[in-house]
Amino acid sequence: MTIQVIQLERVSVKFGLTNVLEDIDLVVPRGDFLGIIGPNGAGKSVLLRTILGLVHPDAGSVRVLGQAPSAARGRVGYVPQLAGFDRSFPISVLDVVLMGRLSRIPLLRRFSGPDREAALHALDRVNMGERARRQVGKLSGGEVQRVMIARALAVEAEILLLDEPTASLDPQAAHDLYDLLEELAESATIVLVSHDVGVMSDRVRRVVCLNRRLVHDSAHGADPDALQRTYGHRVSTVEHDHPFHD
Amino acid sequence: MFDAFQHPFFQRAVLAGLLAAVACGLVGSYVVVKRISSISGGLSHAAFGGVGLGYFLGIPPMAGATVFTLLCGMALGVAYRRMESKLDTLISTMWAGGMAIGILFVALTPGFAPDLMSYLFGSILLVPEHHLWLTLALDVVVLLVVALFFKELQAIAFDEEFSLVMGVPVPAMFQVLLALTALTIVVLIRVVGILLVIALLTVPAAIARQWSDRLLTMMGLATAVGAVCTTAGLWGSFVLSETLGVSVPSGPLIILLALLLYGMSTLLRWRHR
Repeated sequence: MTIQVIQLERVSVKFGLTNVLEDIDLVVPRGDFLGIIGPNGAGKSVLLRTILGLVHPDAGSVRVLGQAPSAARGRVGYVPQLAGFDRSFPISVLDVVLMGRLSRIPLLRRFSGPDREAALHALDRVNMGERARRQVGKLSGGEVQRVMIARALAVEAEILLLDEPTASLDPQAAHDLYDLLEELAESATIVLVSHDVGVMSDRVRRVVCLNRRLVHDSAHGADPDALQRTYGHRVSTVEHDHPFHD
Repeated sequence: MFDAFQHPFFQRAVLAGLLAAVACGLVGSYVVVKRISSISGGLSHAAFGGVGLGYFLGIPPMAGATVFTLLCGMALGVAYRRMESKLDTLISTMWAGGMAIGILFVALTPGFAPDLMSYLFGSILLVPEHHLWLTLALDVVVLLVVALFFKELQAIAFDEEFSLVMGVPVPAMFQVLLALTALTIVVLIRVVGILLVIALLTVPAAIARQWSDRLLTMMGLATAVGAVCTTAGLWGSFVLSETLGVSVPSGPLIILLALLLYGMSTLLRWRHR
């Protein structure tokens, strides 16, 4: 049975007088592994933030797991493009990842053993298990990125949204991350945003191109014409086989 | 040299300082890591409006200050959420507006405002016993709230956006934090006065931050630093007053000592790198 976990209908977002997203129709079925590509300023991050309910559309409707985005909070794991915190904050890596468990633990209750185990497991999956006791400021940029990913994994959510997750990772770590995402895609719905066409379109099941509007939506990877329409010039991609077809 | 500690009034002042240091260390740590020291500075000056209104309405000025500062805190909390770009201007407005209201209503109050200066510059040496109970009650409230909402308060201070995505009631928690800040400010006014409160709230926490890698450690350390500063400042004012034959206020000594420690701590931290 196919269930639409994310559904956007004619969504438009304006910042002041500028159209950031125009007339977006997007349906993400359960179990999809979707890549959204587009140039800088195409509105990729805004699209993810709209799905999260952090940006309110000026027109159109957004449904996440059949609900309004604000009602679906805590059921979506999110990796922001930039770590939105102060690196000198006195907090351990483990405590940061535990924040991914906040939606499970009601007010007035403490994190318990299973939460800590889930957080440590998430850290292990991004090879950061040994850094659990470190203060976040003592990590490198790539390590912080992996902690952000672990925090989103600790949510153990049905939906995982990642905004340029490989931007500050070295090639090996990026490769490992895609391996991990492929594994997670067995049980979760994943939406990934990137401006890096080559690597991503190789790994995801479906690619859409975004440049304020959705230029292309297909299960057949990024076709060169759509890429050219998105980026305004020719983009080279690697041909590959797709394991997922409608 | 230490005979100051034998006087009951001095003991009471030291106790008031120690009790204030607890609220100051806990709430000050949040103020520093959440970077709301400008909001707190605005609030502490706005408190003077409450003092003036208290005189005018014939209610205890401290009660006036408590209600007024809490209301200003709640208003700033809403402004923080709704009009972040104008927040800076709004803080200055509240800062000066509160002072203006205070000055005006003190002038409009018939007769002489007897201890007006003590609100501006503090008067911990003459602290009445009921103030000790008040500070103790505040400490209990602060400790309870911090214990009950530690994970949420830490989360909103660390990463507001992710907390929101996780379904944490971010606006409500921020209002709770501002309410704690407002109440702590009112209690600290007795210790160092409206003009110096912001330093006592932030400097011990800033020192603690340089030596802590956990929020809880930072809170403990900030409390200890605050306790050392208030006690040493009080003692210094007693000794200096006796030797110089003039009344040396304790508030400025407490703050200058805190600033000296901050400077030393920063140098040490810098050398340890």
